[in-house]
Amino acid sequence: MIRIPRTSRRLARQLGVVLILPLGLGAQGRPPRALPESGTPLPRIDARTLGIGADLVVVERARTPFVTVSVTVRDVVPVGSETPGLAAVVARLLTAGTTTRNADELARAIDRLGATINARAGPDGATITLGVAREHLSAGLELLADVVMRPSFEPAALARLLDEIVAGADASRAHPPTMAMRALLRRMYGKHRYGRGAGEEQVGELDSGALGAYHAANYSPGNATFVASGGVALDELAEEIEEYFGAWTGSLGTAPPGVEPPEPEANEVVLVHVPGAARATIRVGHLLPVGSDPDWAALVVANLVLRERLGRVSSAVNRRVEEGFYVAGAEVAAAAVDGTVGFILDEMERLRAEEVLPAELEPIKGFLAGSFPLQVETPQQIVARVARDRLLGVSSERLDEYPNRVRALDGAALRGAASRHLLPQAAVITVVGDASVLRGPLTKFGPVTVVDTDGRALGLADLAASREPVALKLDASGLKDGSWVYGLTVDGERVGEMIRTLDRLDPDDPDAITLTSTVVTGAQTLRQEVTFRASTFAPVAASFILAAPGGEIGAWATVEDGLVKGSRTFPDGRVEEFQAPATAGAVMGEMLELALWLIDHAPGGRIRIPVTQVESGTTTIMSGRVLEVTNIEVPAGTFQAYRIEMVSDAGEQILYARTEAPHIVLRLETRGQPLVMQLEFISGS
Amino acid sequence: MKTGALSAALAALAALAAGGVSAQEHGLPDIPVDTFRLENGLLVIVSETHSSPVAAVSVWYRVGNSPEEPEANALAHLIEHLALQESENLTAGQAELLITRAGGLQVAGTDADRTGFLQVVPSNRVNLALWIEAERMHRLVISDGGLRSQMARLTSERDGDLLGRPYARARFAADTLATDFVPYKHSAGLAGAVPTDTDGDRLRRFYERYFAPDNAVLAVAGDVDPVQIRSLVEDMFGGIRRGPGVFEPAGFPEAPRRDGERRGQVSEEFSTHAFLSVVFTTPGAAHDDQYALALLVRILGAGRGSRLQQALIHERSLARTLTATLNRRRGPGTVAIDVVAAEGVSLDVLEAQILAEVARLVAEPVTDQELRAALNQWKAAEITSRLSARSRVEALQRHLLYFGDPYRINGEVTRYDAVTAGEVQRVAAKYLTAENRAVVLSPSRTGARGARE
Repeated sequence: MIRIPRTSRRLARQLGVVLILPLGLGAQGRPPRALPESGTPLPRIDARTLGIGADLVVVERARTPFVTVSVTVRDVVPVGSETPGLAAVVARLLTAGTTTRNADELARAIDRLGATINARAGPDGATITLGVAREHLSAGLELLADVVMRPSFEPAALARLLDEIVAGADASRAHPPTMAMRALLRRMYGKHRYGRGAGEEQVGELDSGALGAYHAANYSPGNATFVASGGVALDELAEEIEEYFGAWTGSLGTAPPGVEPPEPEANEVVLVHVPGAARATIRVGHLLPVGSDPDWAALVVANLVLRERLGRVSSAVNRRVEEGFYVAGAEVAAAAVDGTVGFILDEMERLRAEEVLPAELEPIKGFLAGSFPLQVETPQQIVARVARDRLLGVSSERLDEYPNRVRALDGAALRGAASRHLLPQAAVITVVGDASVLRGPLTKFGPVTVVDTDGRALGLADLAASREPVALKLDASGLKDGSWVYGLTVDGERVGEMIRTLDRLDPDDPDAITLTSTVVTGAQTLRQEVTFRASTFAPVAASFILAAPGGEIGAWATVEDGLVKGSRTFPDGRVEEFQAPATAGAVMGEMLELALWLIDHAPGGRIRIPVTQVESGTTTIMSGRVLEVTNIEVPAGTFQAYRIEMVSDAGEQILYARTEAPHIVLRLETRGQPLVMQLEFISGS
Repeated sequence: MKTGALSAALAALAALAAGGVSAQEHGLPDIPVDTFRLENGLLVIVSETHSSPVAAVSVWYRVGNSPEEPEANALAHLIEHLALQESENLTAGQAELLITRAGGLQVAGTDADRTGFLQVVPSNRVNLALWIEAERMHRLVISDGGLRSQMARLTSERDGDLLGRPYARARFAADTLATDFVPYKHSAGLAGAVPTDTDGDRLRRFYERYFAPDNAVLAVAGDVDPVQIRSLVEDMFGGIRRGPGVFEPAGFPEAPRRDGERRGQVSEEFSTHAFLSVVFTTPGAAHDDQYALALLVRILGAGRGSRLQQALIHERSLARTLTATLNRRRGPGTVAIDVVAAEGVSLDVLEAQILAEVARLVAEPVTDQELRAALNQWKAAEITSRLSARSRVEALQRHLLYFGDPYRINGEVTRYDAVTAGEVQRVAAKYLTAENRAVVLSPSRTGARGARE
């Protein structure tokens, strides 16, 4: 074993001395240095134009008994009213039958060869890919030609596909990340075709005639590129393609003048209003240059730098034939929205203003260049990569041109590309969340447009009207007075307990219930109390006090005449008062747990409970779902229980509530924390 | 130990077993295989190809989630998580960082038979991948914090498996009913994947017993120089102390089972459609009947042209999706037919249709056309699974695990080619029987067991 003292290593670095170790082993306690590169080259790319007018690109792997062949058809000629989604529907129906083979016959013919034929469409075109053993290449090409040239667009198959698309769109419509991206694309691209989305809303109007017209206008050899890889040479494949696609005619489609996307001069905010949402989904984006722009290698690296710096915020660049786009995004608590948006914009600006140092840049370049061979190892991977490049207008002669361009980038080049293309001063900021809470904090970034989930503009009056409470109609009159003791454990070790009592303290007012919870852990005590009306489940007053060796904090609040009034105390003795409008139907403090006792649960059921904070009077939504019915053993016994997941700004909790009513909480776990609370003793319900 | 002669002998035996015909003549190129063994018992397979500057490094330990220690259930899975995370010379997450920065990737997995680690790297970083695997083999760190966090990860993985995948509970229940015998009854495919006891000393003893070099196989494939690999391996792994030897399960039961049909019902809370799983127990992966079974499964349910997809989806619209899968293990595996019912279709109707197609397979031979299509599908899948260093290294590991012989990979095509329609009919009659069957129903949340007949 070779060991080099730390001081010697440091000295060697300072002197620029390279310590040669055999075979790049390094010392056994340290990761070894890279070995010399093997010299195994990435394959060459050959290309020619076919007699039928299409381009053919081949990356030959002579010893591979498999061939992947793709045909990419550019989406250039709009048809009729340019229904969004038309190109995708055409692509998906190519393999659902041709004029010479119905769907079954086609599927059986493909199966017989052990081949696959897949078709998919992106924003710039459709790619149909054949994968087949070399020995069946001719038969596979005959099928590929049939699929590309003679689709039948059977009305029954179209109807089934449209039903599927519409059902899928319905399922994703309420998904905040989908809503945020749609709003972002719509705003960034305006009336440009990239801004129209997948068009699920309109696809229902498509008929076979429209599909046929689109196919006739766009699926022509002059508008197509064949890309292949595997055990076949360029000329050999050219001959086969000419044979099977010989009857394919048509010249390069001419695109009509396109609609230019807008060019914003300042940041603007689009706020998609989802009443009562506790969290917010953020997307910050802007347009990037066209796909053939030479700065794209630098933009890919710049994005990875941003991704590292932004941590939990996602960051991505999207390359397209025409203008691509940058997008950063996050899902955060409503209170963190402006901080997160500001952080994203600041980091974008920093990349424009400061040169990235080699210590940060080199690992990222190492990752991109090093991982490239892994992405072009198989014929399928090579074809996907080359076909995408050709569609974008990038014509490389060797596969390793891209990693070499990445290796050549330095901090100055990166800064140059970032300053040319990153636009933290002219970005579109889309946020999906409760606009009545988020609108104010977001105005600092630019003008705010509030829309509903269908994209319709909302005014302030609409916002106020939409603040309808998520009213809980619960009745706690049936609950008996009692007490419940819970043990608190950390990694299985008991560290404290909680005693919860439910009392009707005023014999003359049996409708007033007081719920008290006292948690004692070591030297800390947390006492929470809430009084509420049993019949209406409406809070009257609530308080909490946390006493620890360093001091006390606490708060109390009352609900009266539509207002929550209260005060909070700090460890230094300071007292702040607050007042906020009361939210009808909201619970306070520990009533949240009682609500879980009283709600009629069912597996799969969703839970939404508005909770007014005792320390501020603001109301947020606790949401959750009933995962399953299960058996659980806690110190108080073995029970059948609902397993419930609850989510709030504070995190995620898993609760087990007894299936028998009232659904007393038996166990509580907080995701990512070792703390567990379990019921040990019941005296009462 | 020098193994050049052994390699040659094994290769010759493989060629003989394949009737003297190499795979090359059947459209599949031979995979180059070389093996050697270190003094500490570590078996090393090297497969050198230079089609792309990529190398894959894989280590499989002969311990899965089903060692014959019921109480040790899922400890292998826990060690897999810990080893992926840190070692004496790698702080938490550092291995992932080093591999990612080199442009590579790493994955790990534990199944019923083995615990495996895989890294794919640019070929000039194969030494880094080997060094990380050597760390995992003898410098595991078992800390309280690491244990806690990995236990949480296991729980979350299990929850994701059970709740995040459609019909996962029903599939798991069906598999369990079909293989509820030693050693697989302790298998932790899903629900048992979280150990209940995390005593560090016990875990350390388990690690030392099962994660030792003489219970492991290291395989390297891709753009590598076998001489250089040998030198690196000897240097990095040679000093690791050997353990008590290869762990071999005491024995596997015979398939088919003769103890009668097993039936179950599972409630899938988040699935909107009814689901049915029909599972037959099959022999271990090394059994000669596997070849005919593999083609049978394709004829029955793989691809749009298969009998079940035609009957249940395309002709009568009774099912939304259907898959038929051959699950191979060292010991008994399964043929699993999983069906998601179309809206309102009774599971009884689906089951009757499936069993009718099964009966047809038993009653009459498949057509030549069906057999040829199944063989071509198998060949295409086999070819594509040899196109990357990653899939080659895993295929070599599988062949060693199942057959004790990595060279066997080059003779497989001949064995599939030899399957006849009569063979398919024979294995159908032998394994697709009522007493060898497990059936699990999962009615939809809304419509009980459905109504449409």
